[in-house]
Amino acid sequence: MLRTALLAAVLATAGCTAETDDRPLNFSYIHAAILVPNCATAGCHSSLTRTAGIDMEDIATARMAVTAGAIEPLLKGIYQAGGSYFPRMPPDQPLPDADIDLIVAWYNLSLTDPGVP
Amino acid sequence: MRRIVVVLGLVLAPSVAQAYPQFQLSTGATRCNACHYAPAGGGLLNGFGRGEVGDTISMWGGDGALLHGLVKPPDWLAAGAEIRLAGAVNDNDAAAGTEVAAFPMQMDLLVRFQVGAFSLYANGGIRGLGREAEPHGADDTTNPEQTASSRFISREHYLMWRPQPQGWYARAGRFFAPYGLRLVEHPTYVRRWLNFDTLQETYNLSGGFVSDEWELHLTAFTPDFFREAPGPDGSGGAVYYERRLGKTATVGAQARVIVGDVDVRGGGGLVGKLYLPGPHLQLQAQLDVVYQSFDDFDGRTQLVGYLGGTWFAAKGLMATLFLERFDEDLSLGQTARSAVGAELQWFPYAHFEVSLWGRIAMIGTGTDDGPLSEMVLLQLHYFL
Repeated sequence: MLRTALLAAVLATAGCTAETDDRPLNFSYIHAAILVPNCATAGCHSSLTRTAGIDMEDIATARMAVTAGAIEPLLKGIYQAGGSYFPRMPPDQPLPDADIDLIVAWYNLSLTDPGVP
Repeated sequence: MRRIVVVLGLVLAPSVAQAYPQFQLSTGATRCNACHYAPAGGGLLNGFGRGEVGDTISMWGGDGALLHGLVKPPDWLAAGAEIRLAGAVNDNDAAAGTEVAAFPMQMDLLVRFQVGAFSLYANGGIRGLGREAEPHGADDTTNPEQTASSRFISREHYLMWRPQPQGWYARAGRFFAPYGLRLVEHPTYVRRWLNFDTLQETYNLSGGFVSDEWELHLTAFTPDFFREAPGPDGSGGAVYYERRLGKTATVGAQARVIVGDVDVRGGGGLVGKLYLPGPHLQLQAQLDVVYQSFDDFDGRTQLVGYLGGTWFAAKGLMATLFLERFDEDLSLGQTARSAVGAELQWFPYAHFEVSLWGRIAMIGTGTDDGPLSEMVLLQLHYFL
Protein backbone atom coordinates (compact mmCIF):
# COMPACT_ATOMS: atom_id res chain seq x y z
CA MET A 1 0.00 0.00 0.00
CA LEU A 2 2.76 2.36 1.01
CA ARG A 3 4.80 1.52 -2.06
CA THR A 4 1.73 2.11 -4.22
CA ALA A 5 1.13 5.48 -2.60
CA LEU A 6 4.75 6.47 -3.08
CA LEU A 7 4.68 5.38 -6.67
CA ALA A 8 1.53 7.37 -7.30
CA ALA A 9 3.11 10.43 -5.72
CA VAL A 10 6.08 10.37 -8.05
CA LEU A 11 4.41 9.35 -11.28
CA ALA A 12 4.40 12.95 -12.37
CA THR A 13 8.16 13.00 -12.41
CA ALA A 14 8.69 9.52 -13.77
CA GLY A 15 9.81 9.51 -17.35
CA CYS A 16 10.36 6.93 -20.01
CA THR A 17 13.56 5.22 -19.07
CA ALA A 18 15.55 2.27 -20.29
CA GLU A 19 15.45 -0.89 -18.21
CA THR A 20 18.69 -2.23 -19.72
CA ASP A 21 21.79 -0.97 -18.00
CA ASP A 22 24.38 -0.16 -20.63
CA ARG A 23 26.61 1.91 -18.38
CA PRO A 24 30.35 1.22 -18.70
CA LEU A 25 31.73 -1.67 -16.67
CA ASN A 26 34.70 0.44 -15.72
CA PHE A 27 35.88 1.34 -12.23
CA SER A 28 36.68 4.93 -13.11
CA TYR A 29 33.04 5.40 -14.06
CA ILE A 30 31.71 3.49 -11.05
CA HIS A 31 33.90 5.55 -8.74
CA ALA A 32 32.89 8.93 -10.15
CA ALA A 33 29.22 8.17 -10.78
CA ILE A 34 28.29 5.99 -7.81
CA LEU A 35 30.90 5.62 -5.08
CA VAL A 36 31.94 9.24 -4.56
CA PRO A 37 28.47 10.79 -4.35
CA ASN A 38 27.05 7.96 -2.25
CA CYS A 39 29.90 6.86 -0.01
CA ALA A 40 32.43 9.69 0.28
CA THR A 41 30.27 11.91 2.47
CA ALA A 42 31.55 14.02 5.34
CA GLY A 43 30.50 11.64 8.06
CA CYS A 44 31.46 8.43 6.33
CA HIS A 45 34.12 7.41 3.81
CA SER A 46 35.41 10.80 2.68
CA SER A 47 39.15 11.37 2.72
CA LEU A 48 38.56 13.65 5.68
CA THR A 49 36.84 11.09 7.89
CA ARG A 50 37.77 7.63 6.56
CA THR A 51 35.37 5.71 8.73
CA ALA A 52 36.77 2.25 9.46
CA GLY A 53 39.89 3.33 7.60
CA ILE A 54 38.08 3.28 4.28
CA ASP A 55 38.57 6.21 1.90
CA MET A 56 36.13 6.03 -1.02
CA GLU A 57 37.03 9.49 -2.29
CA ASP A 58 40.43 8.35 -3.51
CA ILE A 59 40.05 6.03 -6.49
CA ALA A 60 42.95 3.75 -5.55
CA THR A 61 41.76 3.11 -2.01
CA ALA A 62 38.17 2.82 -3.20
CA ARG A 63 39.25 0.10 -5.62
CA MET A 64 41.01 -1.70 -2.79
CA ALA A 65 37.88 -1.50 -0.66
CA VAL A 66 35.61 -2.86 -3.39
CA THR A 67 37.95 -5.70 -4.29
CA ALA A 68 38.47 -6.65 -0.66
CA GLY A 69 35.38 -8.82 -0.98
CA ALA A 70 31.95 -8.89 0.64
CA ILE A 71 30.94 -5.83 -1.33
CA GLU A 72 27.59 -7.30 -2.39
CA PRO A 73 26.54 -8.40 1.13
CA LEU A 74 27.57 -5.00 2.50
CA LEU A 75 25.56 -3.11 -0.08
CA LYS A 76 22.55 -5.38 0.41
CA GLY A 77 22.75 -5.33 4.20
CA ILE A 78 23.36 -9.04 4.64
CA TYR A 79 27.04 -9.01 5.59
CA GLN A 80 27.73 -10.82 8.83
CA ALA A 81 30.92 -10.98 10.86
CA GLY A 82 31.64 -11.81 14.45
CA GLY A 83 28.14 -13.05 14.98
CA SER A 84 26.38 -9.82 14.04
CA TYR A 85 25.19 -8.16 10.87
CA PHE A 86 26.74 -4.99 9.51
CA PRO A 87 24.48 -2.08 8.59
CA ARG A 88 23.45 -1.82 4.97
CA MET A 89 25.73 0.59 3.10
CA PRO A 90 25.19 3.48 2.76
CA PRO A 91 23.03 3.53 5.89
CA ASP A 92 21.05 6.69 5.12
CA GLN A 93 20.37 6.13 1.43
CA PRO A 94 21.02 2.55 0.24
CA LEU A 95 22.07 2.09 -3.34
CA PRO A 96 19.48 1.17 -5.95
CA ASP A 97 19.72 -2.45 -7.07
CA ALA A 98 20.89 -1.32 -10.51
CA ASP A 99 23.94 0.35 -8.97
CA ILE A 100 24.69 -2.65 -6.78
CA ASP A 101 24.43 -4.93 -9.80
CA LEU A 102 26.88 -2.76 -11.75
CA ILE A 103 29.42 -2.76 -8.92
CA VAL A 104 29.07 -6.50 -8.37
CA ALA A 105 29.43 -7.17 -12.10
CA TRP A 106 32.66 -5.20 -12.14
CA TYR A 107 33.86 -6.98 -8.99
CA ASN A 108 33.18 -10.38 -10.54
CA LEU A 109 35.11 -9.29 -13.61
CA SER A 110 38.03 -8.23 -11.43
CA LEU A 111 38.20 -11.71 -9.92
CA THR A 112 39.14 -13.16 -13.29
CA ASP A 113 41.08 -10.13 -14.49
CA PRO A 114 42.61 -8.17 -11.59
CA GLY A 115 43.87 -5.54 -14.03
CA VAL A 116 40.44 -4.70 -15.40
CA PRO A 117 40.08 -0.90 -15.71
CA MET B 1 24.56 -2.53 18.68
CA ARG B 2 27.50 -0.25 19.44
CA ARG B 3 28.64 -0.46 15.82
CA ILE B 4 25.15 0.44 14.63
CA VAL B 5 24.95 3.43 16.94
CA VAL B 6 28.30 4.77 15.76
CA VAL B 7 27.51 4.29 12.06
CA LEU B 8 24.21 6.14 12.27
CA GLY B 9 25.83 8.90 14.27
CA LEU B 10 28.40 9.30 11.53
CA VAL B 11 25.84 9.56 8.77
CA LEU B 12 23.84 12.22 10.56
CA ALA B 13 26.74 14.02 12.11
CA PRO B 14 26.56 17.70 12.58
CA SER B 15 24.99 20.20 10.34
CA VAL B 16 25.83 23.84 10.18
CA ALA B 17 23.29 26.32 11.45
CA GLN B 18 21.00 27.17 8.57
CA ALA B 19 18.07 29.43 8.08
CA TYR B 20 14.48 28.27 8.13
CA PRO B 21 13.20 29.31 4.71
CA GLN B 22 9.66 28.72 5.93
CA PHE B 23 9.97 32.00 7.84
CA GLN B 24 10.87 34.09 4.82
CA LEU B 25 7.29 34.98 3.89
CA SER B 26 5.21 33.66 6.76
CA THR B 27 6.68 36.09 9.29
CA GLY B 28 6.22 39.08 7.01
CA ALA B 29 9.89 39.27 6.09
CA THR B 30 10.58 39.08 2.38
CA ARG B 31 14.37 38.94 2.66
CA CYS B 32 16.35 36.22 4.48
CA ASN B 33 18.86 38.85 5.52
CA ALA B 34 16.16 40.74 7.37
CA CYS B 35 16.94 38.32 10.23
CA HIS B 36 20.43 37.06 9.35
CA TYR B 37 23.74 38.84 8.88
CA ALA B 38 24.55 36.68 5.86
CA PRO B 39 23.21 38.23 2.65
CA ALA B 40 21.38 35.05 1.64
CA GLY B 41 20.39 33.98 5.16
CA GLY B 42 21.67 31.28 7.44
CA GLY B 43 24.04 31.46 10.36
CA LEU B 44 24.08 34.12 13.02
CA LEU B 45 20.92 36.14 13.62
CA ASN B 46 21.06 39.92 13.62
CA GLY B 47 19.33 42.10 16.19
CA PHE B 48 16.00 42.12 14.34
CA GLY B 49 16.15 38.34 13.92
CA ARG B 50 16.82 37.80 17.61
CA GLY B 51 13.89 40.05 18.39
CA GLU B 52 11.64 38.02 16.11
CA VAL B 53 12.64 34.84 17.91
CA GLY B 54 10.92 36.02 21.05
CA ASP B 55 8.16 38.14 19.55
CA THR B 56 7.04 36.07 16.54
CA ILE B 57 8.60 32.62 16.49
CA SER B 58 8.41 31.18 20.00
CA MET B 59 5.21 29.89 21.57
CA TRP B 60 5.73 31.43 24.99
CA GLY B 61 7.93 34.34 23.95
CA GLY B 62 11.14 35.07 25.76
CA ASP B 63 14.15 37.19 24.90
CA GLY B 64 15.99 36.06 21.78
CA ALA B 65 19.00 38.28 22.45
CA LEU B 66 22.43 36.92 23.32
CA LEU B 67 22.31 35.11 26.68
CA HIS B 68 18.58 35.87 26.85
CA GLY B 69 19.39 39.56 27.08
CA LEU B 70 21.59 39.30 30.17
CA VAL B 71 24.45 41.07 28.42
CA LYS B 72 24.48 43.48 25.53
CA PRO B 73 27.56 43.23 23.31
CA PRO B 74 28.96 46.38 21.68
CA ASP B 75 27.62 47.23 18.24
CA TRP B 76 30.78 45.98 16.53
CA LEU B 77 30.45 42.50 18.01
CA ALA B 78 27.86 39.76 17.55
CA ALA B 79 28.20 36.27 18.94
CA GLY B 80 26.26 33.10 19.53
CA ALA B 81 26.42 29.36 19.92
CA GLU B 82 24.49 26.43 18.50
CA ILE B 83 23.93 23.12 20.23
CA ARG B 84 21.97 20.24 18.76
CA LEU B 85 21.42 16.85 20.35
CA ALA B 86 19.84 14.15 18.24
CA GLY B 87 18.24 10.77 18.44
CA ALA B 88 17.67 8.71 15.32
CA VAL B 89 15.93 5.54 14.23
CA ASN B 90 16.86 4.10 10.85
CA ASP B 91 15.52 1.07 8.99
CA ASN B 92 16.71 0.32 5.48
CA ASP B 93 15.73 -3.33 4.98
CA ALA B 94 19.05 -4.57 6.34
CA ALA B 95 19.38 -7.88 8.13
CA ALA B 96 20.85 -5.95 11.08
CA GLY B 97 17.38 -4.57 11.67
CA THR B 98 16.46 -1.15 12.95
CA GLU B 99 19.32 1.13 13.96
CA VAL B 100 18.99 3.41 16.96
CA ALA B 101 21.37 6.21 17.90
CA ALA B 102 21.69 9.22 20.18
CA PHE B 103 24.52 11.67 19.62
CA PRO B 104 25.58 15.31 19.78
CA MET B 105 24.84 16.72 16.35
CA GLN B 106 26.23 20.23 16.52
CA MET B 107 28.30 22.32 18.90
CA ASP B 108 29.39 25.56 17.26
CA LEU B 109 30.46 29.00 18.38
CA LEU B 110 29.68 31.92 16.06
CA VAL B 111 31.23 35.36 16.11
CA ARG B 112 31.08 38.45 13.90
CA PHE B 113 33.12 41.63 14.05
CA GLN B 114 32.11 44.74 12.16
CA VAL B 115 34.04 47.88 11.31
CA GLY B 116 32.14 50.26 9.09
CA ALA B 117 31.03 48.46 5.93
CA PHE B 118 33.35 45.52 6.59
CA SER B 119 32.65 42.49 8.73
CA LEU B 120 34.45 39.28 9.58
CA TYR B 121 32.35 36.25 10.40
CA ALA B 122 33.39 32.81 11.58
CA ASN B 123 31.92 29.78 13.21
CA GLY B 124 33.75 26.82 14.62
CA GLY B 125 32.93 23.66 16.42
CA ILE B 126 33.51 20.01 17.03
CA ARG B 127 33.00 17.70 14.07
CA GLY B 128 30.84 15.37 16.08
CA LEU B 129 30.62 12.09 17.84
CA GLY B 130 32.47 9.03 16.68
CA ARG B 131 34.14 10.54 13.65
CA GLU B 132 37.03 8.18 14.03
CA ALA B 133 39.42 9.20 11.29
CA GLU B 134 41.54 6.10 11.17
CA PRO B 135 44.99 6.08 9.56
CA HIS B 136 45.34 4.17 6.33
CA GLY B 137 48.09 2.11 7.85
CA ALA B 138 50.70 2.00 10.53
CA ASP B 139 52.97 4.26 8.47
CA ASP B 140 50.31 6.90 8.00
CA THR B 141 51.39 9.09 10.88
CA THR B 142 51.95 12.32 9.00
CA ASN B 143 48.51 12.81 7.59
CA PRO B 144 47.31 16.10 9.07
CA GLU B 145 43.73 14.90 8.98
CA GLN B 146 44.53 12.37 11.66
CA THR B 147 45.60 14.91 14.23
CA ALA B 148 43.43 15.83 17.16
CA SER B 149 42.95 19.35 15.80
CA SER B 150 41.08 17.95 12.81
CA ARG B 151 38.14 17.37 15.12
CA PHE B 152 37.64 21.12 15.23
CA ILE B 153 36.39 22.70 12.07
CA SER B 154 35.08 26.02 10.88
CA ARG B 155 32.35 25.47 8.34
CA GLU B 156 31.95 29.14 7.61
CA HIS B 157 34.37 32.06 7.78
CA TYR B 158 34.33 35.03 5.52
CA LEU B 159 35.13 38.68 5.10
CA MET B 160 32.27 40.79 3.79
CA TRP B 161 31.85 44.29 2.46
CA ARG B 162 28.28 45.52 2.71
CA PRO B 163 27.48 49.16 3.33
CA GLN B 164 23.80 48.44 4.02
CA PRO B 165 21.62 45.33 4.42
CA GLN B 166 19.96 46.30 1.15
CA GLY B 167 22.17 46.98 -1.83
CA TRP B 168 25.41 45.62 -3.19
CA TYR B 169 27.71 43.36 -1.23
CA ALA B 170 30.83 41.26 -1.74
CA ARG B 171 32.33 38.54 0.41
CA ALA B 172 35.18 36.08 0.32
CA GLY B 173 35.67 32.96 2.36
CA ARG B 174 34.07 29.64 3.14
CA PHE B 175 30.31 29.22 2.97
CA PHE B 176 27.66 27.61 0.79
CA ALA B 177 27.06 29.47 -2.44
CA PRO B 178 23.50 30.87 -2.35
CA TYR B 179 21.51 28.36 -4.38
CA GLY B 180 17.97 27.00 -4.23
CA LEU B 181 15.79 26.74 -1.15
CA ARG B 182 18.67 26.29 1.33
CA LEU B 183 16.67 24.00 3.64
CA VAL B 184 17.92 23.39 7.14
CA GLU B 185 17.97 19.56 6.99
CA HIS B 186 21.09 18.41 5.17
CA PRO B 187 19.73 14.94 4.21
CA THR B 188 17.13 16.67 2.04
CA TYR B 189 17.67 15.54 -1.55
CA VAL B 190 18.13 19.06 -2.91
CA ARG B 191 21.02 19.44 -0.48
CA ARG B 192 22.32 15.86 -0.38
CA TRP B 193 22.53 15.38 -4.15
CA LEU B 194 23.48 18.92 -5.17
CA ASN B 195 26.67 19.10 -3.07
CA PHE B 196 25.18 21.08 -0.20
CA ASP B 197 25.58 18.28 2.34
CA THR B 198 27.47 18.47 5.63
CA LEU B 199 30.95 20.04 5.39
CA GLN B 200 30.61 20.63 1.65
CA GLU B 201 30.99 24.38 1.98
CA THR B 202 33.38 25.74 -0.64
CA TYR B 203 35.77 28.66 -0.71
CA ASN B 204 34.17 31.46 -2.64
CA LEU B 205 34.41 34.89 -4.10
CA SER B 206 30.86 36.11 -4.12
CA GLY B 207 28.86 39.21 -4.63
CA GLY B 208 25.41 40.39 -5.35
CA PHE B 209 22.51 42.69 -4.68
CA VAL B 210 19.71 42.33 -2.13
CA SER B 211 16.56 44.39 -1.91
CA ASP B 212 12.97 43.96 -0.82
CA GLU B 213 11.97 43.31 -4.44
CA TRP B 214 14.70 40.99 -5.66
CA GLU B 215 18.11 39.58 -4.95
CA LEU B 216 20.97 38.28 -7.04
CA HIS B 217 23.99 36.28 -5.91
CA LEU B 218 27.00 35.42 -8.08
CA THR B 219 29.60 33.02 -6.73
CA ALA B 220 32.88 31.60 -7.96
CA PHE B 221 33.95 28.62 -5.87
CA THR B 222 36.66 26.07 -5.36
CA PRO B 223 36.82 23.11 -2.96
CA ASP B 224 38.27 23.42 0.51
CA PHE B 225 42.01 23.60 -0.12
CA PHE B 226 43.02 23.49 3.55
CA ARG B 227 41.57 20.09 4.27
CA GLU B 228 40.35 17.13 2.28
CA ALA B 229 36.78 18.14 3.01
CA PRO B 230 34.15 16.55 0.80
CA GLY B 231 32.26 18.67 -1.62
CA PRO B 232 32.09 19.47 -5.28
CA ASP B 233 35.13 17.80 -6.77
CA GLY B 234 35.95 20.80 -8.87
CA SER B 235 35.72 24.54 -9.18
CA GLY B 236 33.05 26.57 -10.86
CA GLY B 237 30.44 29.22 -10.59
CA ALA B 238 26.87 29.60 -9.40
CA VAL B 239 24.17 32.19 -9.82
CA TYR B 240 20.93 32.57 -7.92
CA TYR B 241 18.21 35.11 -8.64
CA GLU B 242 15.03 35.57 -6.66
CA ARG B 243 12.13 37.88 -7.36
CA ARG B 244 9.47 38.72 -4.80
CA LEU B 245 5.87 38.77 -6.02
CA GLY B 246 4.31 41.01 -3.42
CA LYS B 247 4.81 39.92 0.17
CA THR B 248 3.50 36.38 -0.12
CA ALA B 249 5.28 34.79 -3.06
CA THR B 250 8.72 34.46 -4.57
CA VAL B 251 10.11 32.84 -7.67
CA GLY B 252 13.76 32.08 -8.22
CA ALA B 253 16.14 30.53 -10.68
CA GLN B 254 19.61 29.13 -10.28
CA ALA B 255 22.38 27.73 -12.39
CA ARG B 256 25.77 26.23 -11.65
CA VAL B 257 28.78 24.73 -13.40
CA ILE B 258 31.38 22.54 -11.69
CA VAL B 259 34.52 21.58 -13.59
CA GLY B 260 36.20 18.60 -11.98
CA ASP B 261 39.15 16.37 -12.74
CA VAL B 262 37.09 13.67 -14.43
CA ASP B 263 33.76 15.31 -15.10
CA VAL B 264 31.88 18.53 -15.72
CA ARG B 265 28.50 19.19 -14.14
CA GLY B 266 26.22 21.87 -15.43
CA GLY B 267 22.68 22.50 -14.41
CA GLY B 268 20.07 24.74 -13.05
CA GLY B 269 16.59 24.93 -11.71
CA LEU B 270 13.70 26.85 -10.35
CA VAL B 271 12.49 27.74 -6.89
CA GLY B 272 9.11 28.95 -5.74
CA LYS B 273 7.49 29.92 -2.47
CA LEU B 274 3.90 30.84 -1.77
CA TYR B 275 2.42 31.83 1.57
CA LEU B 276 -1.33 31.54 2.06
CA PRO B 277 -2.25 33.76 5.04
CA GLY B 278 -5.74 32.30 5.45
CA PRO B 279 -4.81 28.72 6.24
CA HIS B 280 -1.34 29.77 7.50
CA LEU B 281 0.25 27.55 4.91
CA GLN B 282 3.51 28.04 3.05
CA LEU B 283 4.35 26.01 -0.05
CA GLN B 284 7.95 25.64 -1.22
CA ALA B 285 9.36 23.86 -4.22
CA GLN B 286 12.68 23.37 -5.97
CA LEU B 287 13.45 21.47 -9.13
CA ASP B 288 16.94 21.10 -10.55
CA VAL B 289 18.29 19.31 -13.61
CA VAL B 290 21.99 18.50 -13.82
CA TYR B 291 23.93 17.16 -16.78
CA GLN B 292 27.15 15.40 -15.82
CA SER B 293 29.61 14.74 -18.61
CA PHE B 294 32.55 12.43 -18.05
CA ASP B 295 35.89 12.71 -19.80
CA ASP B 296 35.88 9.10 -20.96
CA PHE B 297 32.24 7.99 -20.84
CA ASP B 298 28.79 9.04 -21.91
CA GLY B 299 27.19 11.62 -19.71
CA ARG B 300 23.99 11.41 -17.71
CA THR B 301 21.17 13.73 -16.79
CA GLN B 302 19.95 13.93 -13.21
CA LEU B 303 16.86 15.43 -11.65
CA VAL B 304 16.43 16.56 -8.04
CA GLY B 305 13.17 17.88 -6.68
CA TYR B 306 11.47 18.98 -3.49
CA LEU B 307 7.88 19.96 -2.83
CA GLY B 308 6.83 20.87 0.68
CA GLY B 309 4.00 22.50 2.53
CA THR B 310 4.35 23.98 6.01
CA TRP B 311 1.33 24.63 8.18
CA PHE B 312 1.79 27.10 11.00
CA ALA B 313 -0.60 25.45 13.41
CA ALA B 314 0.00 27.92 16.23
CA LYS B 315 2.61 30.38 17.32
CA GLY B 316 5.77 28.34 17.80
CA LEU B 317 4.44 25.21 16.16
CA MET B 318 4.77 24.25 12.50
CA ALA B 319 4.26 21.02 10.60
CA THR B 320 5.70 20.24 7.18
CA LEU B 321 4.86 17.54 4.69
CA PHE B 322 7.19 17.04 1.75
CA LEU B 323 7.86 14.95 -1.33
CA GLU B 324 11.31 14.40 -2.76
CA ARG B 325 12.71 12.89 -5.92
CA PHE B 326 16.23 12.16 -7.09
CA ASP B 327 16.82 10.60 -10.48
CA GLU B 328 20.42 9.47 -10.62
CA ASP B 329 20.21 8.90 -14.37
CA LEU B 330 17.07 9.90 -16.22
CA SER B 331 17.87 7.56 -19.08
CA LEU B 332 18.02 4.49 -16.87
CA GLY B 333 15.17 2.91 -14.92
CA GLN B 334 15.34 1.70 -11.33
CA THR B 335 17.94 4.22 -10.25
CA ALA B 336 15.67 6.89 -8.81
CA ARG B 337 14.81 7.63 -5.24
CA SER B 338 11.39 8.88 -4.22
CA ALA B 339 10.50 9.95 -0.72
CA VAL B 340 7.72 11.31 1.40
CA GLY B 341 8.39 12.90 4.75
CA ALA B 342 7.15 15.08 7.55
CA GLU B 343 8.63 17.40 10.10
CA LEU B 344 7.17 18.84 13.26
CA GLN B 345 8.99 21.82 14.77
CA TRP B 346 8.16 23.29 18.13
CA PHE B 347 9.70 26.51 19.40
CA PRO B 348 8.46 26.60 23.00
CA TYR B 349 10.55 29.51 24.26
CA ALA B 350 13.17 31.81 22.79
CA HIS B 351 16.40 29.91 22.00
CA PHE B 352 14.79 26.46 22.23
CA GLU B 353 13.56 24.14 19.48
CA VAL B 354 12.35 20.55 19.34
CA SER B 355 12.23 18.98 15.89
CA LEU B 356 10.89 15.62 14.81
CA TRP B 357 11.78 14.76 11.22
CA GLY B 358 10.91 11.57 9.37
CA ARG B 359 11.22 10.28 5.84
CA ILE B 360 10.28 7.15 3.94
CA ALA B 361 12.30 6.70 0.77
CA MET B 362 11.79 4.18 -1.98
CA ILE B 363 15.15 3.25 -3.42
CA GLY B 364 15.34 2.33 -7.06
CA THR B 365 11.89 3.35 -8.13
CA GLY B 366 10.86 1.48 -11.22
CA THR B 367 9.04 -1.57 -12.36
CA ASP B 368 10.86 -3.65 -9.79
CA ASP B 369 10.60 -1.73 -6.57
CA GLY B 370 13.70 -1.39 -4.49
CA PRO B 371 13.86 -1.40 -0.70
CA LEU B 372 12.27 1.16 1.54
CA SER B 373 14.56 3.27 3.67
CA GLU B 374 12.93 4.83 6.70
CA MET B 375 14.44 7.32 9.11
CA VAL B 376 13.15 9.33 12.06
CA LEU B 377 15.27 12.02 13.64
CA LEU B 378 14.55 13.87 16.87
CA GLN B 379 16.57 17.02 17.54
CA LEU B 380 16.85 19.18 20.62
CA HIS B 381 18.23 22.54 19.57
CA TYR B 382 19.42 25.41 21.71
CA PHE B 383 21.12 28.55 20.51
CA LEU B 384 22.73 31.16 22.69
